[in-house]
Amino acid sequence: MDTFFQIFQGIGTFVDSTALGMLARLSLLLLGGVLVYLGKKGTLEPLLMIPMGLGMIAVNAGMLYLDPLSAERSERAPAAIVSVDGVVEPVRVKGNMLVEPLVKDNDNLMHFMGLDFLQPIYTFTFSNGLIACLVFLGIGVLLDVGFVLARPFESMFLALCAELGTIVTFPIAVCIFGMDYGEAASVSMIGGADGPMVMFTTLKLAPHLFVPITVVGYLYLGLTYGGYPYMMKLLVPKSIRITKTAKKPIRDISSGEKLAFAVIACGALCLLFPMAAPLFLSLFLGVAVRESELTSFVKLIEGTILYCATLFLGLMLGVLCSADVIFDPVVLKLLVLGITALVLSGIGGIGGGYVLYFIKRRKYNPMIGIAAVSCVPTTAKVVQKMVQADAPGEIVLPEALGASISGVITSAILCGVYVALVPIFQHVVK
Amino acid sequence: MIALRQKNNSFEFVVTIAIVIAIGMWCGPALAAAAPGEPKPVVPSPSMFVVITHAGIVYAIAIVISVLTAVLIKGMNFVMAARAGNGTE
Repeated sequence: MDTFFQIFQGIGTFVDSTALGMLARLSLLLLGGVLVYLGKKGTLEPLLMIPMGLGMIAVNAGMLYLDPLSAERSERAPAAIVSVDGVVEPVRVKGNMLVEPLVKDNDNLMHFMGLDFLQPIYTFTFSNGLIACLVFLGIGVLLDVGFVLARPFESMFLALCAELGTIVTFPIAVCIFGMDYGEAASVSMIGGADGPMVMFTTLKLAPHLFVPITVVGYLYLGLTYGGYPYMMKLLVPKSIRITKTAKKPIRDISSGEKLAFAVIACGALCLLFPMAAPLFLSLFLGVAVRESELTSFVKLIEGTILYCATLFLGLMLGVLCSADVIFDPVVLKLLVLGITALVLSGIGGIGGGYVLYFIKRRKYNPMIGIAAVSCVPTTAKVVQKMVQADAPGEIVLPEALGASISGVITSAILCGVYVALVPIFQHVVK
Repeated sequence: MIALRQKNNSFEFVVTIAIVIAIGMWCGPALAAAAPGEPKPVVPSPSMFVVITHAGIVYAIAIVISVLTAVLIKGMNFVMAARAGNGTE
């Protein structure tokens, strides 16, 4: 039987696990299947969920015993144990041939770089935040900052209100859930509803929680479409939902203005927050490329780079979901805090919408506020859909997109503030 | 940026919540199982007042920078409108 388990090590490692370990692997195998199924159906975003689900299946099915050299270099288990009769025997360390995310030592890293096929992708694009920046570059190319330039104060006000979750979750995570500042800031960024920002903050402030926070973050972003309509119906009575937003004539914003804004904003924000300069540069480079009408670059970024980054993002998130990494007790806290952040941000956005509703003498639909919870353009589309359902013919997409794009900018600003200030706060607290 | 597609909301919502609850139900026992054996490092937690003050500082800085960004945009609007000879919003 031992020979059988040696040949088929996926089964061998499964049988060799505790009941809890078996259950963990089985549940993740099933979850991977569910993600692929929902991706295929179009219920969840297929570009992310299909590679993620398949990666999850592969990493949890394809577990094996590492060879003695790799076992020794694996930083997740002791290299040897002393058997009962005093003879030192190597431990059979379980691993996979996909990626070894916990390795930190350079020599060990080089060993796994030559062994695990996704290790180079993880080391060179994930652990330094490159993948987040590439996705952000793609987002920049897709953004039309003209919507923000047309209504700067209104959009920025809504975006700041919709960061309520990003701010309020921080003290909740520290004081109630006992997290440290870095962990709390990272999980709070889920309230900004922007995957790349969550990844970047976590990599800088809580790299040990990178996998669970990113997975929880991306899972929850689905709620912005599924859950926010309910929140809007709950918080905005129908009599107010049918409010028609007053339209003022807006002059055309030239591409030169948009480019100038991108250049100035990029320079100023990098000057203020050098720690988050990679994010700002990526975002505004995308905007600059779009507004400079560099069509070859636009095609390259919005096609090849964005799709390539999304493919490997999904695949990596999947293969990082091995049972021992994702089923950490801390995930329970992250689940609670992630939903808290997104709900609070939604409430904050609608609250901001109400403020504008009263300031503009009931000629502003407060539902637009929830679009400021970033996640561009999903939240803007949700708002338009909801408004159209109650007030057919009413178009609020430009206002909603302005708020949504401002949400991206304020999320990036908050990411920069957290990354810059948290180490200082931690030092002060100690 | 990754979002659910525009299909029926209720189903998507229920599915996402179900996945979250499933993971949560797993983590609960894992938490209980991990609790007795693993020594937890005792980290002195700062007072709630300090933490809220720190969060307030973060928000205040974000507000100032966002307002400055909006002022910058408004300034650009005025300059461009003056150059073009027509009105702003």
